[in-house]
Amino acid sequence: MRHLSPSLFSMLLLLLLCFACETDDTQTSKNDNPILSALRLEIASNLANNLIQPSFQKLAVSTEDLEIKVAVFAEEQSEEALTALRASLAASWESWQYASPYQYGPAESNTLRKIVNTYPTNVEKIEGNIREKIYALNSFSNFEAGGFPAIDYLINAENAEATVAKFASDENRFIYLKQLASTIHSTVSTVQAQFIDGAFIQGFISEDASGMDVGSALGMQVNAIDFHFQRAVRDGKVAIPAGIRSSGVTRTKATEANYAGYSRQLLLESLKSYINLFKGIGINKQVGPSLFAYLEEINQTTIAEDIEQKLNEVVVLVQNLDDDLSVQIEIDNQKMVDVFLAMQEVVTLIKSDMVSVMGVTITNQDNDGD
Amino acid sequence: MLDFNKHMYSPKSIAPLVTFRILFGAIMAISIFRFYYHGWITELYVDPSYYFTFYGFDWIKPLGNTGMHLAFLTLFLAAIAIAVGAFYRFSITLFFLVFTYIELIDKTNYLNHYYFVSIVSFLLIWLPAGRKFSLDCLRQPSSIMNQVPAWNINVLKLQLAFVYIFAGIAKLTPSWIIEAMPLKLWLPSLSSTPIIGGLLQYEWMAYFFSWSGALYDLSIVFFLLSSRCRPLAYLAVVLFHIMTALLFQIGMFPYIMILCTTIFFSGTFHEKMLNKLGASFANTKTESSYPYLRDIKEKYILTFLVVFFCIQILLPFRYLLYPGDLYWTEQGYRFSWRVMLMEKAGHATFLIKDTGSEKVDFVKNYDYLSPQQEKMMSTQADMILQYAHHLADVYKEKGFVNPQVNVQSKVTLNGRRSKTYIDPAVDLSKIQRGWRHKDWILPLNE
Repeated sequence: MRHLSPSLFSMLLLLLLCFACETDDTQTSKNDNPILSALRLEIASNLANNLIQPSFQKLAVSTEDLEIKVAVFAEEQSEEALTALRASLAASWESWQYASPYQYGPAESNTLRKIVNTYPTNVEKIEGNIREKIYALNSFSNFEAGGFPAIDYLINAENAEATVAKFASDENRFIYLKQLASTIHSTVSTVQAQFIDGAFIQGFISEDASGMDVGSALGMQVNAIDFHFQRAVRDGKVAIPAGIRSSGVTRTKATEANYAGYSRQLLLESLKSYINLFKGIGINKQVGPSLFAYLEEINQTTIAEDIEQKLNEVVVLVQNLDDDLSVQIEIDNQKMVDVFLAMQEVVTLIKSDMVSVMGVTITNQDNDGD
Repeated sequence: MLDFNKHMYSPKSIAPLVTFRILFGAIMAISIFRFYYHGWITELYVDPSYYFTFYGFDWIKPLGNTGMHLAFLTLFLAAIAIAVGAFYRFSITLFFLVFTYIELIDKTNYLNHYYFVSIVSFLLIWLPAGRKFSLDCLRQPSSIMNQVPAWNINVLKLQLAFVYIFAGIAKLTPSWIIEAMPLKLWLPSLSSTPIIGGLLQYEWMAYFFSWSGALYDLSIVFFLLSSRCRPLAYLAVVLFHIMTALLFQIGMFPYIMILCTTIFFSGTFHEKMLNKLGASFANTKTESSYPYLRDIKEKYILTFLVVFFCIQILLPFRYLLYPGDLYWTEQGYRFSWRVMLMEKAGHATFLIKDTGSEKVDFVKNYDYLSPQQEKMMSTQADMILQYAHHLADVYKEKGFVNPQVNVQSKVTLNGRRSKTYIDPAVDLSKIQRGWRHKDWILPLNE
């Protein structure tokens, strides 16, 4: 090996550089935007300022109203107050759908989803808690006896007259209802405050988080979409009640808002929130830098368009369902299965095509290529 | 023949081997601690409810929370013992066994550099790396050896040459050279990297990295072997691996390679370095004594090593025995130094039917697998099959009499759009595992 000289080595290096320069001249200038990481930074701040913060703010306003309407109902014990409370619950639940795709950072550390929206709710546990005056609702064992679904049970399970009568006969029922509303609102407020100011959100919109790894803003968001779209939307709202996860044995009691009966509306709002997130559309309809724009920027427009189109197809399928998905399951479950199958295609596009071209990683573990 | 004998049996200073032992032990101790520090012992070897064992090693099982932590503690202590040369042969054997055991638990976590660590620790069992500048020598000065037959050093150089050259050959594919894949996909996502980040989104950078990477892998060993080129070549080693460490999530691998390649430096160089640390190498060049006994044991070891390296030559080429695209089917992909060669992602949905029933259950993968396990399973046919068998067992326990398992799977390879990976009509519960060609993988190009 003595004949290999340093000059040969440096010549090889030089040759490499020439190759590099040559390709520089002939390259088919694909990325017009000179700094992709700057675009990612803009997407992160659009997410923070126009999607996350307004969504949580709206949710916090709704849940505050919910708490007020509960207090009025406890005070007046009237059917009018109950009607107002029911409307407030529906509004809060809809607002929740827009906060749902952002279950990371403070939302995750405060177990927000589990506290506000664990369903199907556990009726025995709720009645037991009321009887035994157990009001600590943010503990792990009581997730299934708390949140919107528990309120839904308490105020929507029977007609107005019977509901008012039931509350009037049991003061603990009111205390429990108040506790439910205040647990929801205080948790939402805590999360909202941390999304507006604090170490997490500062980091989220900082240059340090403008990569694509697990800790980066976009990495976190894409992983959250993958995670929550599958579990909370596809499975929670559709697959589980439709029996797709239980060999076709349907579970009509497992729909969201089972007693109120507006599960289709919640599903539609949820889908809309994912479309808005994907296209960077804020609550006030203003459009900002988005995942869609990012895919366009890296020359993957067809993937971006396919995802949008598939999501819209799911919306159309859902629009043709009954207002109450548990009714839909009973009259024609195949339509629910069709929604599920269309959602699967969305999952493939996100999990496979989008994640791959964007270079998102799902763990911080070492890897040496797939 | 004379030249061959020189490379095999001429007396050489033991110093490079001693340095290698110290550095290897130290970097292993750091790696093991890092693994613990990130919580990966629990995440990878305690939390999952199912593990993807290697074919033929299904009897390998994790040891539970306490057991796995004890296993890693053993590794950590063994690594330190290797570095300081305490009970060297015992420590290195223990290290090899425990490390290899852990790597065999779940192929989800397979990395070429873990394979490298297993191989190197295995080689070190047969080399007298603890016979100088070690606690063993303090305890037993009669065991000190200043020189070893050349093969003891050269075998490690050969091993490193295998890693680099096979990694280089693996890069000589149209996708790497002509399309600059997958770097064309990866580099733009890394544009937040300090200093060079801004350049990474340009396509020519992907070509530059692909070509220089291939050239580096193919040629670096030869430059390291030449004494005149060595300083410059080692600088290239350091720069190359630091660059990959900055860009990719490849953990300790770059540092391991930077340290291991010091074996190429001369005995004199290592003696000087070790003397600075307190070793007592005399000027061995004038020493005429050759204390190492060329006994019958050495012959057995050498014969065995020849077989060992022949296997290593054959393994990377075993893919030629299978039809289809290697990256797509991954038949013969592992244990071949194929590093960072492809971007693959997928989505697999399993359907379970019971015979005589029209009912279908769609499996929620997240009930059974960790996110990382699911990701790896979705794109690798052997893991899809293993998981399908596991699901059949799970559903038998759930009361299915004869569960039939089908999969709807989509995979994207190097930026192509997702396409169906496994034949959805095949009942995977009836397919045997093994090394036969998996004809139920649909072709990549049609």
